[in-house]
Amino acid sequence: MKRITIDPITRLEGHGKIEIFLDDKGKVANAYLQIPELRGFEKFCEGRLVEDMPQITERICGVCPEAHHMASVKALDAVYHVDPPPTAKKLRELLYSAFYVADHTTHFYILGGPDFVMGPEADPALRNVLGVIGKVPEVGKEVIKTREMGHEIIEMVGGRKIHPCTALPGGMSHGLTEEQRQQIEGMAKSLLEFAKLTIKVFDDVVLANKDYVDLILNDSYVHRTYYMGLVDENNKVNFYDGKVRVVDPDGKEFAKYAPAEYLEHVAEHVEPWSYLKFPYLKKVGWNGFADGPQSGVYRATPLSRLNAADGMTTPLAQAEYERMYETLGGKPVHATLATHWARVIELLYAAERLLELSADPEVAGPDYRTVPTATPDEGVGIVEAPRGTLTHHYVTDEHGVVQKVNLIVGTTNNNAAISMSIKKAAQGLIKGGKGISEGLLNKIEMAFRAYDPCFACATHSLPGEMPLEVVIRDHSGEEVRRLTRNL
Amino acid sequence: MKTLILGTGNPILRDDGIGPRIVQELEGLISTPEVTLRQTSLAGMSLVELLIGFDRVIVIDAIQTGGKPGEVYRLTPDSFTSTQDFASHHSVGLLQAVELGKKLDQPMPREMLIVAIEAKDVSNFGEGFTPEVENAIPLAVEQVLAELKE
Repeated sequence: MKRITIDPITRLEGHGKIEIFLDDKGKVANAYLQIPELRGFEKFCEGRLVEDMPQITERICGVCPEAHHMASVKALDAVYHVDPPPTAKKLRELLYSAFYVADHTTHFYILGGPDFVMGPEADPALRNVLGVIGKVPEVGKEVIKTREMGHEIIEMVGGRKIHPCTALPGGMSHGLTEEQRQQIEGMAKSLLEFAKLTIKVFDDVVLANKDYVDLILNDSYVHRTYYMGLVDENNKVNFYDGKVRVVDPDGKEFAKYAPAEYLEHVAEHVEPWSYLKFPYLKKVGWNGFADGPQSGVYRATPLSRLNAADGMTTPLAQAEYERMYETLGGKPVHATLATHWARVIELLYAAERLLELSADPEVAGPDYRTVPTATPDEGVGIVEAPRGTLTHHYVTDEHGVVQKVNLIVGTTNNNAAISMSIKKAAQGLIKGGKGISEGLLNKIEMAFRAYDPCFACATHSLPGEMPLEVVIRDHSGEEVRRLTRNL
Repeated sequence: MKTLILGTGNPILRDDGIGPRIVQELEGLISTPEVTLRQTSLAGMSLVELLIGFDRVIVIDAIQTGGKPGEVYRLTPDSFTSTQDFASHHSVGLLQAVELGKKLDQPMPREMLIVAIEAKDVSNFGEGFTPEVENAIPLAVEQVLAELKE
């Protein structure tokens, strides 16, 4: 196969590009995803006060500002060497659980869900965000209501609906009154009912249909990788706090570390043809875009979190967790499309956790901040963003002025796996140079949409609708076909 | 008619933030109760929610068509067909948001107008605009005020 040099300077003009290379037999040899690079974030932050970072980093993402806000404030706790009091941690986790309920609900019904509810073979005109509403009509209104409630809770705790502003190093700037706590508890009960309904929808529409289950288990969408997720001291899933746990492709614990240690475990590989960084497990090493225990490629997704943990802390979610693994043949599950199922289980957990926290009288307690007294220097904050483990690392001088910033956002963890998933999906379809059609585009999109990727998020395309160009090249690098979506 | 003037963009991504900036200018110039001014850097479903209950929306947005930076265009949803070369994420996102809102049985604006400014740099983090885009602010403001007079 002829060696092609892809010029990384080619501007992507705000759209994603996938390049598929065929070998001389017309089979897929390689596939690479490129997305537009946003430059200069670190430089932008240098010289600013580190306390401004939660407000600044919220602007990175038009869809999950709350995740960045939370990772950022945890990094601030670390920079200032302060441990927030229990009430503060509960308030933050309460806010974060409400955010998860809204976000996962939106994703399932509006974004990822359509891949299943409508089916991959459905008419493309229906097979989009709008089609699913037709199949499950009342649900549309419930999604809006769920989001409204989620945002109201976030506003009560976070001061603003979507860009919270009350988290400070050492805690929160204000607490909840008993009246507010009760209001939130009322909403949480309602949200839990809807989460249960969502499980039922998934059951009735997806799991009851053998074709879908076959699709989930289809080998085109399977990768045996390492898995990463945040766990509490009992190795149960926690979105807000804990240690990072990594399991190997057989599900055995490979590493468990505190946020401050992340650089001992994760390194970033660079390829000449892409701006994207490819994080991998340092102790395994980079051995290319490959599956298996010898490859340092790992995934951080809802499915990864469930694979990396030993269970869920809440009863209904735990029951669903066990059911999923029973149905799909044990732990860990490697089928990328099962991420949609994992997401629905997480939705249930988030709703149960929200109710737990809102029913806890300590969440409305008076002790919601410990004022830091130490000199700031360096800190790492890690949370689970809906799209994967999110890391914020700040270095400051003794006045709290930012010197260095390193972020690993949720989707970045999965950059290597996404390219591998695209390649595998394409391989399943393109044989002897044939099989290139609209259906190919759909299948490729399904492969990477399962990761719920947060590409070009700072320029706020409606997620999932990022313009995409797929270029297929033959073994001499000549373009064979070009497919586009929304371009 | 209840009108929403919505400036969309990321205020820390250079020219991408021109929409909110222009709304900021308009704050001092518009005081009729039927007109609501809003700035947003949100995407996805949040866009749908912002539109609920308005009869008309005027979106102010950065755009990249390959044209001259600082040009101000007056566009409607019909301007965005596949034969046109318009690459504006926010506006396309908003069009879909309106569709989605209708499907979710929410009261969506009947009229949509987009005042778009050709951007030069939407790839580098930074506050402030390229000179060409900065200079377009008065023109864009005028365009919006003219729309309101009709």
